[in-house]
Amino acid sequence: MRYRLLWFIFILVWGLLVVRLYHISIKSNYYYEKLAKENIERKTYIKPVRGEIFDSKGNYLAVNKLGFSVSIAPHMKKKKLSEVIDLLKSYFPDINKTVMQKVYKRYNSPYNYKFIKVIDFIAYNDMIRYYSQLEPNQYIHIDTETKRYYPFGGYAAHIVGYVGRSNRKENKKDKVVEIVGKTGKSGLELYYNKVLEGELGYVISKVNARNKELKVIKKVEPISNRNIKLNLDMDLQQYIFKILDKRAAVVVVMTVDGKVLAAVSNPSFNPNLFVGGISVKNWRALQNNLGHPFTNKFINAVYPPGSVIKMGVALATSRFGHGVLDEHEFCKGYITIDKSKHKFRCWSRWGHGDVDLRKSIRESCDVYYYDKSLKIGIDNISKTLHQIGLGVKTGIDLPREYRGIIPNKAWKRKRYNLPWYKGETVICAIGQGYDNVTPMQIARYTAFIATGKLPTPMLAKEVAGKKVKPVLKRIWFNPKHFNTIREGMYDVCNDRRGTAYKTMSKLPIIVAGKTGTAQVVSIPQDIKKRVKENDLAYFKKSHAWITTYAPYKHPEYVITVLMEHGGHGGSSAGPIAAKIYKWLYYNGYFKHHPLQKVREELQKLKDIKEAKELGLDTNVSQ
Amino acid sequence: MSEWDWKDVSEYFRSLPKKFDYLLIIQIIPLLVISSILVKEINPALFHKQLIYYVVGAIGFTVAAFIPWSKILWWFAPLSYFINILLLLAVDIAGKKILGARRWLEIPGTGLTVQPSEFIKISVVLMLAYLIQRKPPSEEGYGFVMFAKLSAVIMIPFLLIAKEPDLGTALVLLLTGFGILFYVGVKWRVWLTVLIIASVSAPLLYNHLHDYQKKRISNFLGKPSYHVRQALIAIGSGGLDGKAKEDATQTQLKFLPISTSDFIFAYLGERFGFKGMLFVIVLYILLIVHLLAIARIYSKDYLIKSVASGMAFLLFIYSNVNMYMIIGMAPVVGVPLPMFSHGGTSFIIFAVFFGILLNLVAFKRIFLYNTDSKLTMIEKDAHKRFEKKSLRLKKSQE
Repeated sequence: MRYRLLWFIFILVWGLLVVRLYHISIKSNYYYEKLAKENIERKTYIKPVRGEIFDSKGNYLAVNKLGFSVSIAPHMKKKKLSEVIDLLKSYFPDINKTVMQKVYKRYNSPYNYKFIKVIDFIAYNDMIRYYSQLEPNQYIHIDTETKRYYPFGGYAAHIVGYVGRSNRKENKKDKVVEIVGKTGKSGLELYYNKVLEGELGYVISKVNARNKELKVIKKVEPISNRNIKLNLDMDLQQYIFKILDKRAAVVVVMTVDGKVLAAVSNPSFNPNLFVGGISVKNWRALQNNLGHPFTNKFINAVYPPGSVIKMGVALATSRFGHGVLDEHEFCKGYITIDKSKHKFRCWSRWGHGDVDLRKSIRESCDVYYYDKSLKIGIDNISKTLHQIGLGVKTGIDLPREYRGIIPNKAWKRKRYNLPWYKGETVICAIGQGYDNVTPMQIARYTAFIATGKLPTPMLAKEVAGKKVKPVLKRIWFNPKHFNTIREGMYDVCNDRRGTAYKTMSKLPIIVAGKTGTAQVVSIPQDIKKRVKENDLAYFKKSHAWITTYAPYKHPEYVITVLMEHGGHGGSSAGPIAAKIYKWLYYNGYFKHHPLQKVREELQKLKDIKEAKELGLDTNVSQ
Repeated sequence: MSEWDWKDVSEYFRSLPKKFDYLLIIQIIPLLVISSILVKEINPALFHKQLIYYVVGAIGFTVAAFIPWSKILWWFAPLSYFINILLLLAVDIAGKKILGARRWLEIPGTGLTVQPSEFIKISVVLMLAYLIQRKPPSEEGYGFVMFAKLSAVIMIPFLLIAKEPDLGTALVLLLTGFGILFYVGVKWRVWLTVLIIASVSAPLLYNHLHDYQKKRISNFLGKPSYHVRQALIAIGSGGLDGKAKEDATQTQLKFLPISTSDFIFAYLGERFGFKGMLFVIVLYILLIVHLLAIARIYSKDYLIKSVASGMAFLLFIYSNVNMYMIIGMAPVVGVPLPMFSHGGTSFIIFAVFFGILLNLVAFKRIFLYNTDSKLTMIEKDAHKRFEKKSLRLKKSQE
């Protein structure tokens, strides 16, 4: 009995063992074979070099500055280590010894056979003097290293953005970012990060249990230097900054098919401060600047559009009001709605009298649009405005673009859970109230009015050698109304009664446009006479808009200027736009005015001072 | 028989080898050959050490095979048992601590260390065999009193070793000891009582374990440890036929830890595959079957019965605990594969053990005949041989 029990136990134990071994070595052979292979294969990545960014003329906006990194041998004894660190410190007094020691401690392990990088970056010139002295040292290894540098500093900060150390979240999303340790944080550096960063190369090598490399199995080179060429002209961009001086403003210059030649958000900041980590002092100074230097105001700030929206409201009326746009309105200086006593006033206290479409734009009559808006209703207005690019993203190649607001009844119910009032319709019809748009939207919308085709603004001209094609969307409106609107805009700049006649009429090419004065604070009902803009405190002053295109007959360029708290559009933003048109003209940007011809014209100009102001004096003498 | 004259002694040395169970020796040799091939492939330096162990083991085996154990056991078993208990106590008091465990005793002036828990295995088995032989069980088996006495022989060294701590070795000793008792015969109601007491006290004992021991147990129940994982990969990647030496990356690139001693079976699996492992397992099975057969054949001789079954249990428990541990079906307890893992003490102990058993069996076989008649038989044989030889000489001369 007990012998049998014993045999039973023995056979059970042996049987179980053999069955299990069979399962491991034969049934799961493939699985364990794979694990064994994973054990011996180590993948080490080779970092690609980040692509560079330059403008249409070949000016570099983001480059990789060449320098060196310093690594030191692993497995050093404490005494030897401090000797080596002291030696480095004697050559480069700026470096931090304790940081180096900490970094060394973190990466030094029996499993690491590689040199440990203790100095991330030393400028080329600083290193080259000592290179021959340090290189023969067997404990020191010097490697070439790149650091992102933005030669134009603040002039293109909002467009190009900057590169910074990647965080855990960014590392998780992108293998290249994880390996390189840097990623685009804003602007084009972020938007085109996938292109710019390139693709990792790698080496698969055979290693032993202590991670020592025994043999290289496979090597794949990284894909580097995928550059981006922009439509931007840095000369123009710098010129705009110059003429704006320190005034807070937004300027967008683009072709009617969406190529952005210049996009300025003033004030700006120097992105180079961020590359190696920004100092507390610099950070505070930028943070406390009331001009919001970090905000990219052409896509990441919204402003009430004011009167520049009027062409859009006219187009809405053309589409939805059968014949309504052809009716004249009478402006007595204000309107009232239903039985309410509230007066919705025109900017002109005395009224414009009989107003047709052309006059309504030329003189920017508010009452005309009050009446039209009440006839077609807010939903139709908002539908059309959305269609022609207001209150929707422009699709520009920059990250985190704002949408803005062009309201309708559904939006208000959703947002505030309140019904829509007629009073709000009239306010929205002149670009006040809930209306909020970005300057880029206005530029895009102006291009649409100029050509009938809605472009997508594009900063990039070529991405990794591939040309970016313009994206245009044709939207049909009654051509008769379209032409009248354009005539109205022509009058704004070229008719004595136009709101921008003073500044825009004496240019070498014919410009059409529209001004806008967007109130920041509402004006109480009992004040009969408005306070002059110049007398208002800075932050209560209205934003000044002007959006224009030229040449009038065959539009090529759109210029939109917004002066923050600038007062009247015509007088404040107008001169800026005018100067830019002159610059474009004398730099041969217009099709039928080649460079040679315009230079000759310039030489004939009596006012050499003006030429100098345009920064063209050196060229004049040629 | 207590007085031996020189003639008797020489007679003893001449006749004994003829009665040796040579099959037992032949069965062990393949194990040693395979083991040394594996060790040589992993580390040639260790292979040379291994050969030295084999030589020492062979000497120990030969010496043990010729000592008339059945004659000296009455004083040798108790003496060696008590000396070993004393050594264990000495370890407890003055032992050398290596990696948190007090298992080693330094021999003064030599710098060498010994592990008394290895020697106690022989002592306990011999002590049990001696006591059982002196007072064999009845038909029904031992009762409570005798069982308690024999249990004490097992439990004292068990507790001392467990305290070192070396739970693996202690448990092997415990199971071997009670295995022998079970094999020899103990009344069923005794076992029932033991079972009840054990199951009640198990949770209590668990609380007395060291943290690292608890961790090993919980590791075993949960995710396999790094060691076991690498061993599984080694065995699993070996497949049916195994891999060439260069391709056995788990071991050759040192992913498999302690590959020459406790985890050598995993290298066997990687190098020679399922076939190789099965072959070695069959060798162990045959060896154990042979030992149990000896115990069965000489079931009236309680000395042989105890020693043979004791060795069978020892081999069975050691080999299976080791193999189960490697494939993650037992906690990692640091038990070698007997006569296969690289390691001096354990191998020599087993060699001596086999020597003892061989002697006991051979001695018994001689004793089965009348000593005198045997002597004459041997003389006759010599005479016959002489005659044959002279005949052959004559023929060649002719």
